[in-house]
Amino acid sequence: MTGELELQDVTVRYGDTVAVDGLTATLGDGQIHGLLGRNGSGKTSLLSVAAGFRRASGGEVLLDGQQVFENPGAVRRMCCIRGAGDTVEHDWPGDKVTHALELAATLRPRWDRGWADRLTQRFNLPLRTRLGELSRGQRAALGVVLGLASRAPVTIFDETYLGMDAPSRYAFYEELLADQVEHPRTFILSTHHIEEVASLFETVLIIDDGRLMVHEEADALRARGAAVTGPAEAVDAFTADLDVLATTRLGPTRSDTVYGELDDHHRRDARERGLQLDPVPLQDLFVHLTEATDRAHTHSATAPGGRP
Amino acid sequence: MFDERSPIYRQIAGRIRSEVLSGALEEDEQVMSTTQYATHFRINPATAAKAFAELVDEGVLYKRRGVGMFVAPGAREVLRAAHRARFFDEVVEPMIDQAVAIGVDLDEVVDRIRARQASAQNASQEEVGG
Amino acid sequence: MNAAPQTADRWVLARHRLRDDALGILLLWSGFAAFVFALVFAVAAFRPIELSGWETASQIPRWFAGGMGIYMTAVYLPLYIAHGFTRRESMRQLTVATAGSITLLAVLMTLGYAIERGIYAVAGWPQELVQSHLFDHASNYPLILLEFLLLFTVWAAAGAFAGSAIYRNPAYGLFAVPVGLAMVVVSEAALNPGFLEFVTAIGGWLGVEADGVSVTASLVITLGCLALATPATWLLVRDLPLRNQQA
Repeated sequence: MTGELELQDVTVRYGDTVAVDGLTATLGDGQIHGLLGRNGSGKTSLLSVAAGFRRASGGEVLLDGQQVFENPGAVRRMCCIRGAGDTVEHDWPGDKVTHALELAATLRPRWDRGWADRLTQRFNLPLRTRLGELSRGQRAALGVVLGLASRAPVTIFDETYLGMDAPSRYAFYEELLADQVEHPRTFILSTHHIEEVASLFETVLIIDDGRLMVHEEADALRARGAAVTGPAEAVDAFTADLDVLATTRLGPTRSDTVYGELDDHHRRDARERGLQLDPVPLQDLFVHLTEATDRAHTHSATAPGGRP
Repeated sequence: MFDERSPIYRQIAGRIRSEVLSGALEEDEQVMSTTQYATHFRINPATAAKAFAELVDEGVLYKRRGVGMFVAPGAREVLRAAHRARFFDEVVEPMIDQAVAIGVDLDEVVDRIRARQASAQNASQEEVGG
Repeated sequence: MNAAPQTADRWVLARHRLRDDALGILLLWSGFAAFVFALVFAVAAFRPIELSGWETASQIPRWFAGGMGIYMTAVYLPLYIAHGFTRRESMRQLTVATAGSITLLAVLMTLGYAIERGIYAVAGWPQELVQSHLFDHASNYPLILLEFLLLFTVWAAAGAFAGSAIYRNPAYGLFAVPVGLAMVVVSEAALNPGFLEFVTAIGGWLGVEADGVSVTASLVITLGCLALATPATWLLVRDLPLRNQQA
């Protein structure tokens, strides 16, 4: 089983707008990767290029060392799900849910028909309903079925699974995880809503304004943030040489969110100064990290290809 | 559930350790599989596997090929010994630091401990602090 | 299950498209033919039938061929790209499938004349043609088939060109649709010398009889349109970016 995706200096431009700006990362084989970024941060553009849906304006995308764009051997092993999974809605009479599943069964070399049927039932997808008449949640569920049952060595879900209701989303996570043990593959899940999915990820990529800010193992990232709370002066002295992402004040008390590993020396120092150290949830780290760059430079216009 | 504040594999390992310590998991009892753990708690299977690997290294769990993970014989004692070793660093020292910081007389603390020791001995001989 | 072959069927797209389209074409044609002949009988109740009804009705299927062209690049190509096929693979197989579908449609349209001939013979009506064609009689089947083939080819090629431009960028479509329309007008005009003034000029330029319909002229114009539409379409689709999907 292989499915290592290499992004080398990938750039995506729409006219004068730069959606992805020289991004380099290697997404390891058989892992679940979380791609986090705010709306308009370039997630969709990046994934479109990764899947060969769009040619990069610059840089390269390689799957197991092979160019992806227009390479049959590479694109056949990828499945990028956006919306209802790029199904045809205006193709009467072949535009029902059952036709979309049938098409995937024909075109996806590793399609698992039995699992697709079970997933369809689990998500209550109406087989005889026309694709154009599905609700947002049903469209997302169809996309999820198409992505999961494809068993593509690189399977990408671009955010739309968020359109499902909570029980369906939980069912999705459960099915994905159970299958990952049996048939490991490389997953990329993009999201701007982290709390619920963070525990699924093995690595996390945070992008902002088309640039890669963080690419780390999720567990390592969890250990990298800390909230330092105490008297303002003591906090100030303690965090002077640390990377402070955010500061909040409450009367004489101040709390700094710092980014970076705190060693034993730091911890002892904090204790001696009477400061409290608390871990920071991933979601908060993400918010602070992406806000920090927001302040550094005002946001340029959102890419035209960005999600509305 | 696991929170998003610290490495999840550590939380999993910690949970299993405390289950072994409390006796909720008996020696030679099978623990949940990676798949069960991953799907039940909605966590990455590799993360769960990492926690199991750590516990195998510690001698808390052992693996039976093709069957699964089991609590190692003597695991409870291994954990208690490990906890005892860290007890003073992780519990007593910070407690003393805090007592000093807020102006609690250390003699008072010692007195309180002796009082608890006396009542505990009266109540039951088996009671052990951990 | 992981060891599943990557490409068990090298022509899976063409096969998929042909199967779907052939069935659709057969169904639509059956309905269409039933409707046309029913209409002829209805008219016959009020006035004598003096000419071929099928000839008039055959104006419509060329629009269908154009629609197939548009669907080829604006709908199916993005669909297959999203399902893990390259643009090159998809276009090659879609072209083969569309050629097959057009041929089937042309055969069925030719068959329409034959069926009409039988009906008219029984009813005693004359199967007269009013427009100019590559063929003089409604029973010259090889030339009827050729004319339909050439017409549908130009319509589908023009449709594919316009479809790719519209999908790529609606602004390109504003330019491409008139070009596509010009192609079909020229090819239609080649069959109907009296239809447009400039046909005489085109005929003269091509060195063929301007006042008669020529197989050579039609072939040349069809091939010319293909020679124009094929590279233009490929230029538009060879690096076609899929549109982003709404959440």
